[in-house]
Amino acid sequence: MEVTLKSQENYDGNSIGSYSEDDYIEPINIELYNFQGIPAFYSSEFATAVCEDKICELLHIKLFWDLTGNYIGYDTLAGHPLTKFDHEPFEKEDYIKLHELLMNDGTILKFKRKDELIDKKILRPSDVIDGTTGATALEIKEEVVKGALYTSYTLWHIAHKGEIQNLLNEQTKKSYTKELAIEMMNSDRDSYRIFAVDQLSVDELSENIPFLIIGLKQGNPLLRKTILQKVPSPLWNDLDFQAKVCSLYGLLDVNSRFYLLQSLKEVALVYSQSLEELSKYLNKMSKNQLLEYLELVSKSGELSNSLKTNLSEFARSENRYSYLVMDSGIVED
Amino acid sequence: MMKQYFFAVIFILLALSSGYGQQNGVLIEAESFDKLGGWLVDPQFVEQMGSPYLLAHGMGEPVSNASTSFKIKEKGEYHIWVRSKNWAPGDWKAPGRFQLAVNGEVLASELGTKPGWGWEYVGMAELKKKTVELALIDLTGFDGRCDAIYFSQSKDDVPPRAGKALAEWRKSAKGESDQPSVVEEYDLVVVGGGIAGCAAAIAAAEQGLEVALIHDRPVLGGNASSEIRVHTLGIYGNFERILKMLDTEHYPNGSLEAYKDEDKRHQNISKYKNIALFTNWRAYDALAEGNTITAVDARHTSAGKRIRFKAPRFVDSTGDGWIGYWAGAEFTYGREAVDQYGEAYEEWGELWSPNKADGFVMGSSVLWRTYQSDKAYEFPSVPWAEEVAMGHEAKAGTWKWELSRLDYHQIEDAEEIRDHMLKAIYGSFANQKKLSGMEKLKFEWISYLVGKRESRRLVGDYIFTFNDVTEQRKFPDAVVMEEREVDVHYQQNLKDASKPDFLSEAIFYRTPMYYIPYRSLYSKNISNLFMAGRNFSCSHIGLGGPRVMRTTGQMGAAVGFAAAICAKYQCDPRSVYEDHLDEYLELIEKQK
Repeated sequence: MEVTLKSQENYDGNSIGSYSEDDYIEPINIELYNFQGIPAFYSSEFATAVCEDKICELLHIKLFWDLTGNYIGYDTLAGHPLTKFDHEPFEKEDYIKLHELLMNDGTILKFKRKDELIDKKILRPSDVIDGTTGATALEIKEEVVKGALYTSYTLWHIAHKGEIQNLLNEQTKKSYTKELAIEMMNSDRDSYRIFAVDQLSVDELSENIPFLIIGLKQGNPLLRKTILQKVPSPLWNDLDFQAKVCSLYGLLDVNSRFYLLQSLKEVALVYSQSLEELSKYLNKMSKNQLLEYLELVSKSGELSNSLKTNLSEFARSENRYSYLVMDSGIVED
Repeated sequence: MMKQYFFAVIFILLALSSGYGQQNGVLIEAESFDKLGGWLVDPQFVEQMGSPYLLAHGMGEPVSNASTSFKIKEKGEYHIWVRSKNWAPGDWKAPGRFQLAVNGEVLASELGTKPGWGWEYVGMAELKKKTVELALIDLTGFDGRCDAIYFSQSKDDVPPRAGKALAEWRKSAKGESDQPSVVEEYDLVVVGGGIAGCAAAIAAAEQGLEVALIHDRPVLGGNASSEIRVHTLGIYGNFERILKMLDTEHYPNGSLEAYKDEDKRHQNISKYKNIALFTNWRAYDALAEGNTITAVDARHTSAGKRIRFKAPRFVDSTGDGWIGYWAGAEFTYGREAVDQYGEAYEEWGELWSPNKADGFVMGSSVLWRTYQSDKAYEFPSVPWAEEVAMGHEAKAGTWKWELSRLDYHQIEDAEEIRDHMLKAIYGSFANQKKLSGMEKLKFEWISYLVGKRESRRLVGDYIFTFNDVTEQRKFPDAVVMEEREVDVHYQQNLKDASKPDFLSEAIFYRTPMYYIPYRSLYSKNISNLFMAGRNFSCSHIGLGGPRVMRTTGQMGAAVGFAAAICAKYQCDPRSVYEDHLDEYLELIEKQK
C-alpha cells in the first residue's frame, strides 16, 4: 500500500508541541505542516527505544498524522533503515506490512500488554530485540511484521496514542480558519467532516444545508449521527429541510435510519410531506423502524390521501411486517 | 429454615398428560413434549413471545423428531394450528421448516413459514382414538421453532396471535390459577445462576442462610457455561476461595474446556446443602407490597409447573434486571450523554460516550466453532443468510462477533438479535466452505443462546461511573476491586459502513486498581433487593470494566455476605451500609 503524501517540500512546518512518557528516550516533537497557509497534516521525527525486558535498541522514524490525529503514514530517516532481529533489513513487503498494521486501529496489539506478546511456554535464548526469546503468540503473529514484533508494537502504540491525538485535535481547533473549514467540509475524510460539523454554530449549521445533506448522503454512520444530533430545532421545523432529510431515508444505514426516526419524535411538527417521503421506504424498514414510524404517523393527526394509500397498500402486501400496520389501527381492513 | 407449603390443587386440568383442555380444544405446549429428540427447549424470549419453545438447532442437518402423546375427551375431526415463526422471511424458502405428524400420519403443511410469531393452520385430522400421538419433524436443521399446538373441533376457534390476549387465552386453556399453588420460603432467593448468582448463593449459604438459587438453564455459569463458553476475566478481589469454585481457565472463547469448569462449578454448588438449586426454572414475576418484594414466581421451563418463592430478601442476578423491573425498581438502559457524569474519553468521542443520550449499548455475542471432519461435506445453500453475511468468510466466532443496533433492544429484540447472528454465522460459514481446502469443514458447535454484555442496569444508592475508575476512588464501603481495563465496544460499521454489521471493536482504557462500593449493589427504591452482575448500579461506561465474570462474581459474593448481616439484624440492605458497615467489612476481610 502506498502512502499518499505528496512531497513535503511544498509544505511549511512549524513545531506545535511535544509529547513524552517516562520510558521515551526523547519527547515526540510534533510539527504542523501547512500548504499555502492552510494546515495539511502533522509529522514527527523521533528516536524511540524498542525494548524487550532489559535489551533495547534505537529506532529512528518519522510518523505522519492527519488533522484529526489519525495515523496516515511513516517514513524512514536517512541512514536509519528499519531492521528486524539479527539486524536483517526490512524487505519491501515488510515496509508495506508495517504501514498496513499501523493503519489498522483494531489490531490485536491494541489489547495486549508487552508481556503478553510472547508465548511464555516456548522460550528460546536470544540477545537480540525482536528476536526469538519466545514464540510470538499465535494470534498476534499474522498481524505484525515478521521478526519485528516489538518494533510493530512500539510504533503502533505511538501512532495511536490518544494523548497525541488529542494534542493534534486541539491544535487543529486553534488553527481553524474559514479556509480550513471549507477544506474540511469538502473533504472525503469522514473524520474531517465530523470535525467540521462539531465546529459549526447553530446559525452556521443552518447556513450550510448542502454540506449537511451531502454528509447525510455520503458519510459514514458516525458522521450522519453527528449531523442529526446537531440539527437545531429551527432547522428541523423548516419544511423543505425536514422533507429533504426524510427523502434520504433509503440511502441511510440501519442505525442512521432509526436515529432519524427518533430525532423526528422530538421535533415539534413532523410535516405530512415528511411522513409521505418516509412512507416510500416502508418496505426497507426493520420491525422497530416501522413501529417508530407508525408512532410518528399516529401522532400526526389527519393523514393525507397519498399517505393513507401507501400505508394501506403496504398493509395488504406480503412484507414480513405488514401485520404491524394492521395492528396499529392506523388503516382499516 | 425453609418451609414448604403444598396448597391443595385448586383447579382440575381437563386434559391429561401434557395436553391442556378448554371448552373447544386442547393446547399442547411444545416444550412439554415427552421426548425432545434433537429439539431444544428455548426459554430465552418468554417475556416477548409468550412461552418457551422447541428449537431445531441442527446447524444445517435436520434434527431427530420430538414426540409426545395426550388424551382427548371426544373422538372426532379436529382442526390443528401450530404456533411458529419464519425467522428469516424473504424471497426464499423459509429456513426453519418442519411438519407435524398426528398418530403417525405426516400432515402435508410445511410449518414455520409465516413471519412473526403466530398460529399457522396445519389442517384437519380425524382422531379415532382418545390417545393422540404427535411428532415434530424437522425438515432443515436450520432452527425451526414450535411454541405450541392447538386442536379444536371448530375451525373458527383460532387462538389469539400474540400479546396479552394470547397470554390470557393460554392461561385459560391451561386452567391456570392466578398464583402458583406451591409456595416455598427461604432466607434468601437468588435469581440467576451465572457466576454472580452462584457466588451470592455460596456466600450466603456459608453464613448459614437457606438459599434458593433459581436459574432458567440446565447448567450454571451463564456466559461462562458450556452453553455460551466465554472465559472468566478479572481478579478475585477478596473472594478468591469462592470464585475459584466457579470461574474458568483462560480458554479460547467457545472452547470445549468450558465443560470441565462447569463440572467443577456444579460439584462445588452441590456441596452446600442449604442451597436449593432450581435449574430449568425461570422467574416470571416479582410481587411487591409498596417498595418491598414479597415473592418471586417461577415456572419450570418445560414442565410448566410453578412455584412461589418467598423470602425477606432477594438477589437479582438475572443479567437483565428482571426482578427489579417487575418490582418497580429504578433502572437505566442505553448510553448516558457524555456530560451526565462527565465520562469523556476525548480521543474516542462519540464512539465512547455520545453528546446526547442514546439507545446504543454493548451488543450480544453468539459464539461458534468448526472443525475439519474426515470427509467432504456439502453445506446447503443459505440464501436467507446472505443479506447479513454478504461476502464475509469465517470458520469461527470470536468476541468480535457481536451485535448492537439502535433499533434492537438487547432484551426486547433478543430473539431477532440471536437470529441475525445465526444468519451471520451460517452465511459466513457457507462463504468459507466455497474456498479451496474447506470441503471438510463442518460445524462443531453454534450457541443458540444470546451472550449478552449489557442490558438493564438497576439503580442503587450509588451509581458507579468512569470517574470512579479514573480517580481510583477508595470508597468506605469498597467491596469489589478490579484492575482490568475499561473495555467498551462499538460496532465496526459505525466508522466504516462497508463492514459487516455483526462485528464489533473495543476501546480500552487501561487503569490501576479501582473499587466498587457496596451501595451500587442494592436497589435505591426497592428496600429488600440486592443486585449482582451486569445489572448492578452503574453507567454505561461504568459497566465497561467490571462487566467481566470474576468481577461480577465478586459482586455476588459481597451481596451474599451482606444478606447474612441483614438476616442477623433483620435489616434491609441499606442498613448494612448505614449501621453495620464495620462488621460487614470485617466479614469480607476474613474471606481472603
